[in-house]
Amino acid sequence: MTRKHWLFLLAVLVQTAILAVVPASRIHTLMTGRTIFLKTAPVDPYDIMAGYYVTLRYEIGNLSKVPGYSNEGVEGPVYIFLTEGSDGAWQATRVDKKKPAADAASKGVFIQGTRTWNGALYGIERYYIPEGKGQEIEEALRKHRNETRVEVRVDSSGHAALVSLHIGSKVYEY
Amino acid sequence: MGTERKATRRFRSALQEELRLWRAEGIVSDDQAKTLERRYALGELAAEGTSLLMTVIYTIGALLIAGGVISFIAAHWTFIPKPAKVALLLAAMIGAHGSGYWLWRVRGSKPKLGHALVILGTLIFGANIGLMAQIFHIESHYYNGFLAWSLGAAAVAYALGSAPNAVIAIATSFIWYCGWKSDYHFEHALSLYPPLIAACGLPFIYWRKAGFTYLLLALAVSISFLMDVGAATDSFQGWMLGGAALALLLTAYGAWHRVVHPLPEIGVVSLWLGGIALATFAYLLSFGEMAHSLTREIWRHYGDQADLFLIVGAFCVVAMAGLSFAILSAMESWRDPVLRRYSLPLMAGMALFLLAVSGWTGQMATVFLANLACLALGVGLIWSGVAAERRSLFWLGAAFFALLILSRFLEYRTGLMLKAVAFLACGAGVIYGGIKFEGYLRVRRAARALRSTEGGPA
Repeated sequence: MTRKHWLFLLAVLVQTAILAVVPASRIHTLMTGRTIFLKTAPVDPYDIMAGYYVTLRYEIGNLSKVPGYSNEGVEGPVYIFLTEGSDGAWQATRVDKKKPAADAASKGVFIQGTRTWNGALYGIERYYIPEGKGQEIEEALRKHRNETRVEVRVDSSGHAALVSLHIGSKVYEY
Repeated sequence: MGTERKATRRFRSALQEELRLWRAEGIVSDDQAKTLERRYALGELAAEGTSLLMTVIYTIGALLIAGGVISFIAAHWTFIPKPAKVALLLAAMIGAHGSGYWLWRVRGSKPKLGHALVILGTLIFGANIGLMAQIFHIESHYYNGFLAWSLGAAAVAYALGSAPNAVIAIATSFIWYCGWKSDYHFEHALSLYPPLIAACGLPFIYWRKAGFTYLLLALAVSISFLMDVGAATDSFQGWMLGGAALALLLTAYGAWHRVVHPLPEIGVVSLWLGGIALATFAYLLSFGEMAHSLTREIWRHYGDQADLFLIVGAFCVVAMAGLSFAILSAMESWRDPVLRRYSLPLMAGMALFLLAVSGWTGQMATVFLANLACLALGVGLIWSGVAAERRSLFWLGAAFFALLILSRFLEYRTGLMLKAVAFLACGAGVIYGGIKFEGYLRVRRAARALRSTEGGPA
């Protein structure tokens, strides 16, 4: 192969590497993470669908009453410790600005978020759906507003990845 | 012939037509005609026309196929498992790149089609970034995807010397910058984007001598620089000073390329952009309200630091004017008739505008100086149009004068009678100037034609 061929191959490899980097963290989380269920609801009950995705608001998105939470200081990562409730949904029990020790994941589940004025965002607030499924999911969300959960995997670093959407008794996984 | 001249396609087409007549009328011999045909590569004109058409057709085809591939994948999204989706996306991208490279560079049988397929590969790459985010439900700012797209397109642009890929890289990087800047970064000071995109793009421009790519790069650098300066100084005066610096830099860069460095495409684009920047900012400041905002702002914002600001401003005036004068006077040749006539009024316009932007003279003087700067620019255009016998420059200068006069009469409250007289006088003046210019062109061209038939120097 000549130098020119190598150069082009390198350029295509750069593009492939960029494409690999985009989901790399999510794939790692999906492969190694622990499964938890989070209570959720669409952000705007009157305008549930935003194109081909649902924007979700989690119960653990509001941390104002959770011990350890403070909205003072600079924005940055926060770590939320979760415990499983009697209904199977996981709830926030404590918030920490410091990253937990390496062995913390073996003792319990914690999730990393970015602090907002009253809680945190986890990078899993958008669930993409295929064309033609919007109306069905929208109707199901309206009908089972309080019975919507999301299956999430959380790895040992606290990174989260969306797996599926559970609305009532139906599971949507895309 | 060793001295190949760069000639436009339009000129070569006209020459080809004329040459046929000259040959038939016996004005040139067969040997002379062949020499001219060789010199201007007239035999390649037909192939070039087809080649351009094919490039356009292939590129449109590539865009449509990209849309089709993405829609097809999207339509079957539900039935395809995640690993298969990823494999399909990668296969589409690598397939387009690979087949394109094969046709363009390896087999070389269909270079245009091959290049179009490589462009298609980069377009699919851009779509794949968004689709990957969808497959794995990743939420991020939309503009981050454009940054990733820009990096990938730049890699292919440099690997293959592909100008369309460079255009994609510049356009997507600029979309990223606009998104990033508008999304809570307006309070930040100067960003690294303008120097970085210039440093990444200019080597490609010099390597490929790509005029259109340079135009896009210059626009991306200029607009981002102005957005940055506006946000960093948070003042109208700072923004105006930024505009003046930009106009000066582009003009000096263009003049240097026009005369010293053999890249006339860059020279012309830079000179035009520099002139447009100066004209726009000087025109804005020629309004009393704008000048009022600027002079009022200086004392309100800078307070005790006004003296310091004046010193810095004065330093800028001297340094910029000196730098431009040095660049222009250092040119060993002033044979470029347009540049020679355009330079001095332009420099005068720059100096007057910088003086106006300093604002230390007060509102009235600022307005006066900004108007003078506009006038100098108009004079430069008309003067160089006359010298180079180019209608476009002459009429552009005349139109700029007309706009200036119209703006002043609409801005100031004067009696209707006075306005009527002024408009009539200006309109008559423009028509009179145009008639005189057309007459001048006719006389000059007739004299030149006479000289050439007599065998004298043209």
